[in-house]
Amino acid sequence: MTATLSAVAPETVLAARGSRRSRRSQRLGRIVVGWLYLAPAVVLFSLFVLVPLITSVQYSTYAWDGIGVAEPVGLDNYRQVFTDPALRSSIAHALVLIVFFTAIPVFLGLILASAIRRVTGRFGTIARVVLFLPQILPLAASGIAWRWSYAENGILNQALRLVGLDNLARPWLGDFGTALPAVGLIGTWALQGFCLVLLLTGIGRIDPGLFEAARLDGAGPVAEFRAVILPSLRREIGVCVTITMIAALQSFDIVYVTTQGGPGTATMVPGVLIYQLAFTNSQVGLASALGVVLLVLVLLLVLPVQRLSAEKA
Amino acid sequence: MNTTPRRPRRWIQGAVVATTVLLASVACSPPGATRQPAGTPSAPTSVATALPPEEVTLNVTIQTATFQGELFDEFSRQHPNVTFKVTQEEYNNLANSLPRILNATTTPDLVRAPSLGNLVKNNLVTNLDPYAQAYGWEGYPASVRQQMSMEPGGTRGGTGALYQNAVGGYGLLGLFYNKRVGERLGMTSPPATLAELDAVLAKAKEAGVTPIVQPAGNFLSPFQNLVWQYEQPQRVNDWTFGKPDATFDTPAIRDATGHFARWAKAGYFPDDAATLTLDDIFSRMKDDEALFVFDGDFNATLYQQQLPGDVGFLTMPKRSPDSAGCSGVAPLAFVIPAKAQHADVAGYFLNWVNTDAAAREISLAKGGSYPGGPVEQPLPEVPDGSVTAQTLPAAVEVLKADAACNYLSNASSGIFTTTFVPQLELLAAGKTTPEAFVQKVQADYTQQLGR
Repeated sequence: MTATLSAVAPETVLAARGSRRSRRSQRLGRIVVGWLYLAPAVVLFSLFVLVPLITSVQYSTYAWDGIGVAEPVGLDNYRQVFTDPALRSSIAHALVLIVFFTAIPVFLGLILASAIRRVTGRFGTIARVVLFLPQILPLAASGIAWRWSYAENGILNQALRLVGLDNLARPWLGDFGTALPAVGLIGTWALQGFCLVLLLTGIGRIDPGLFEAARLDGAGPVAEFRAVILPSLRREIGVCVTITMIAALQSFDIVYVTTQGGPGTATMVPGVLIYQLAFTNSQVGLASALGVVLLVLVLLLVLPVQRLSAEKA
Repeated sequence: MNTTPRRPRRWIQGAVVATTVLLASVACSPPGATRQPAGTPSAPTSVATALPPEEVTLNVTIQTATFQGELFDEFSRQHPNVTFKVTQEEYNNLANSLPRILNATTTPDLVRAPSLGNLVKNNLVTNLDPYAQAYGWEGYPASVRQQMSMEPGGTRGGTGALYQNAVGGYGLLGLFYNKRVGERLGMTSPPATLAELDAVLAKAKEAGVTPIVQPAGNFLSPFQNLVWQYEQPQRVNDWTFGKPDATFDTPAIRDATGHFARWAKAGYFPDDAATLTLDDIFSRMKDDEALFVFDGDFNATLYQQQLPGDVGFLTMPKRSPDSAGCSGVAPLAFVIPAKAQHADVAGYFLNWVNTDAAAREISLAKGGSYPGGPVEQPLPEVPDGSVTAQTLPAAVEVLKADAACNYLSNASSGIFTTTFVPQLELLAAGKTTPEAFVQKVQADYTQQLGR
């Protein structure tokens, strides 16, 4: 009540009262109320994000099997993350997945969005729904379906044999050369719908006057895309790139369900390796160190993207 | 008048956050137990060898799709005051969550535990020596007993106390084969030496049949069977048991690795081994497209269903009739958690399942493996012409000769998933050499055992 009154009371009245204490306690009251509104979210955030983060950093400085006595080892776990070829290559694979999870969906999304933005009515809606569906399906379920499709007598190989391309048919997820791209393409399939919808929404925000002006200037579709659409979608592209890059770097369910990191270590990614180290090998400290390195890597890649895509005020 | 304080620069805010996280993590007390439990986990001082008269519900955790439920039903039939509350866990989940299941405030009374790992060191399992003494388990086959015992430091195969016992028998590893395909290739009797096996494999390959339809996820089976014929069994067991001076990097094991690599190079494994499912294996065996597969007698009934009357079994042939050599045998091991509420009843059940005639019949008929307990006990009947009629005598022979070797996957909790599976795939694809493979296994083993 006091807060509301002071919000509408003119500054001059307060100044006339001349009480600095009253001004400070009113500002204090506003701050307290603000924090009370934030409290539930802050509690949940602390419990599920901050506390695990802090304990992960703590665990990474120990050699611990999860139950017994933890032996402090300083930065040894981090040393191992950077020198062990298996751990290093898992990070490299996650970076490769960025090409499939981010680059291709954004590129395809831009082309598709520009193409179907003019399509309205039932066909347009159906197209949008169909293209967005993969995003809704749980990745673990999609992974299993894709594993069947990629199998030796799965639908992909059957199609290849049908058109006479027998020599191309192979166990896609079991071949050292094709396993990682095959897994990557599952991610492309799952994420392109998300990017498409985001970019379509962004295009919808563009002032139609700009399109008219471009047409009057004689711009064809390509020039229109370069001059009108692309610059206006800066923020949407930024969001799409950020979210898909995080998905690529912390991928777990796709790899766990399709290849478990195989064949050999061809598709091992940090997400699956952390799980294996922590729970199968009972090396909680090393797993935590890999997790912290992954976090830093995500920040290093995502923060510049955020800065570049922020719209100039 | 603007009284809002000027906001500090972004990077200062970031640095403050990072420092807070670091300080908070350092300030917290270390995770886990405060001190290592000293000495051997305390054994129960006295053990009741008779069931209590009142109603008891035994909590058990087993892996999914197994037959042990029938053993529990039979026990309840014979002892109506004991009922079972069964929790099923998928095998990998069970293996991964075992420490946490046993460390919870309330634990089951009996848990499937394929590998002891750090369970003894962390005082999570009951010492079964008092039960062994009370029930007379010394007569159990020594080569299996030593797999289930552990010294306080984590080594097995010595004078350690007993911590596991089998529920449902001892699984024997060997080769199943399609008799029809074998006859077509002129194999009138199973190969008696490794050289004869190589010859048959070559003939199969020439005839366009998959010689060994082995999934890449189980390349360990053919590999370890070769290791057991090349290296002295005791030396291999020492390594699996974690003895301090044991090493995997021996000339004999390198030779065995080379032999496996030659099989892979000759194309004896299927091209799509990495994506092969159990159904694929069965359908290829049934359609006469494959000859051999390395598996255990616990899957005997499955092969029997696919090829009734036409499936054969043999243990891995030795290099020569008088070489040493062993076969893989592992108990379907269970443990009694340290915090079990009805440890004595669980102990009684463990004794019953390995000695009671009805229980052993169920174990053999539904499980397929030698049903446990001393070898001198009478064996249950096996149907003529069944695969079990071949696997059971083979198992008894191995146990009587004390020639059972522990599966290599028991060497540490992570050695199978993290090391053997990917490295054997790399070896089979020619992407690593036998020398590099053996060194990598030893290096991972040392690291995983915390040495």
